Amino acid sequence: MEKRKREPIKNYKIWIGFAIIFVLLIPWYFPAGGETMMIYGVPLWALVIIGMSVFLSLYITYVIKYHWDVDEDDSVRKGEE
Amino acid sequence: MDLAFSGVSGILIMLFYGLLMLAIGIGTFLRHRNVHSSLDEYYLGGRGLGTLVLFFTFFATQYSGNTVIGYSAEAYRVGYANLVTVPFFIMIILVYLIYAPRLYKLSKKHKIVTPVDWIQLRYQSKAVSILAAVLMLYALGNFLLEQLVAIGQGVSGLTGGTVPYQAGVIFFIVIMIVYGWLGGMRSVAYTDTMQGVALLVGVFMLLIGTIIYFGGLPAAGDYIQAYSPENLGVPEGIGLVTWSNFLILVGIGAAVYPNAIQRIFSAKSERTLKRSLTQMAWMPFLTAGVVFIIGILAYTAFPDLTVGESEQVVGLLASAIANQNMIFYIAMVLLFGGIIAAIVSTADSVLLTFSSIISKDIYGRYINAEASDNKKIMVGKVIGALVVGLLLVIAWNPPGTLYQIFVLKLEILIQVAPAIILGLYWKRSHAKSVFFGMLIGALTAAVLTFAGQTPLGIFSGVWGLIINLGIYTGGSLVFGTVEDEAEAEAQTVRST
Repeated sequence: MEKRKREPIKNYKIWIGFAIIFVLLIPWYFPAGGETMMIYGVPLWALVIIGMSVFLSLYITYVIKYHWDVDEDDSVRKGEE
Repeated sequence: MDLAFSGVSGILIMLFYGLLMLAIGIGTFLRHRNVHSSLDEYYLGGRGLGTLVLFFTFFATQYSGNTVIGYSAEAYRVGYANLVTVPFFIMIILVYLIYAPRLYKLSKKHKIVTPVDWIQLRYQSKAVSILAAVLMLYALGNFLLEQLVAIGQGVSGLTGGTVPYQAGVIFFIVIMIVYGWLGGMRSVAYTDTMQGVALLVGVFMLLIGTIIYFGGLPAAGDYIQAYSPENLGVPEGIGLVTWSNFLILVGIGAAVYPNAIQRIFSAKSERTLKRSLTQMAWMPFLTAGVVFIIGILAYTAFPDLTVGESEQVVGLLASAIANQNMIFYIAMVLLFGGIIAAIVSTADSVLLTFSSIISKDIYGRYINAEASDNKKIMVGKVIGALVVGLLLVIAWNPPGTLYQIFVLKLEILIQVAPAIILGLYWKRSHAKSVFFGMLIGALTAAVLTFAGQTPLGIFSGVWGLIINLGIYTGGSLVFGTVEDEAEAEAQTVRST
């Protein structure tokens, strides 16, 4: 029973992933100034940030689903929804 | 400007939404007559909120009417640099992942009702608990004040002044207090669900209407490129610092709002909590993202609004769209009601949490520990209502010089985060260091905010947090002993 418990904080690898995503969520890696490249009326850099945001949500979804299982009482409570 | 909802229709819409909230409150009360029997029942809905309701109450707590009105205006003014609003709402869920799994477990085990309960359990220190309670009450009070002002402005703005500011505030505040008193957390969460649906549907219809009548992103992109190309550029220099500050301050700050934490305690089970938070991780795209796009699209519709006028950009767009046909008229009714409802739904959760800290942490712990739960709830309710009355007076007679003390919220609240989060995991945490870290961090944030200073471009709240963490960790490393913490820690360890 004890071994089945998973808590996001205890798995440092998860947080390396979050750190990388966080760094990429800040648009420092685009060339400053000059002409902004546009795709369907949206600046390219903004599309990349939106893409990273989607990736962050996906990653959070993954971590919640597969790396968070702390409360053993839950297995008893079936059909609650 | 001729608004679509001025006159009688505006009044009818407000009445309809108000009475609907009241009906939900009364219905909740009739179904849960024992709601005043215990603090758990009243403040946490008997720790029984299911996925859907829990999700909507998280949603309503995080997204206020300000998100719609203020953020689209901001996107209109500064352009794509305001895109940061989307990731920062996702960051909040990331911060939950740091502490929610363990705190939820502990809350069930130790019957924790408020965040201060946890701090008391962890540090067993009167000083730390009282300071945390005071900082939370202070930030919550200011947050509530902001929502009260927003209700008044929203109602009078959206009805073109037909419903005066004061009347709008009083009407919704009375309804909010009545349904809150009747059903506690349950009626707050159920009305949150209604309010959230109205807001989501309304915002979507506004987006669709804007695209149909004023053109989509390509048209807006061309327009902005021709007239304000700087609004398309990538943030650089100080803009990047501001961007990352937002991610940190809002991510951590909004995740430790006491009313947000209390929602974790209200979850029926770990599974419902996990599901609700997963859904919340995707909401920023549907709310902040859509609101951002509306602000960008508004550029084509109203290219040269002044800063003051731009604050009303949502009202202008909605009004123009409502006048097109019946379907959009109805949709914009939903949106307007939804915006007001969203402000009310944020305010109600703030008020409920405020009352809970009074009931449990101030009155119930230090003034009359022997009192019955029913009496504690009553004291929390009455003091909550008195504070609302006081805040209304302040809202109508804003003090000229000291107005800034009513602005501090996140900056102060974020100073409680180390005590709550680090305390979960770090055995050496030393109560006195936690206390001084929190105190000096809060003072630093306050002083820098009053002075209008952001050294190195870093926000006052983040400076406070850095100093706070420095004192907390430094002091705990020097003075903290695992023995000191043995008792509290044993509880933490046993329960994981």
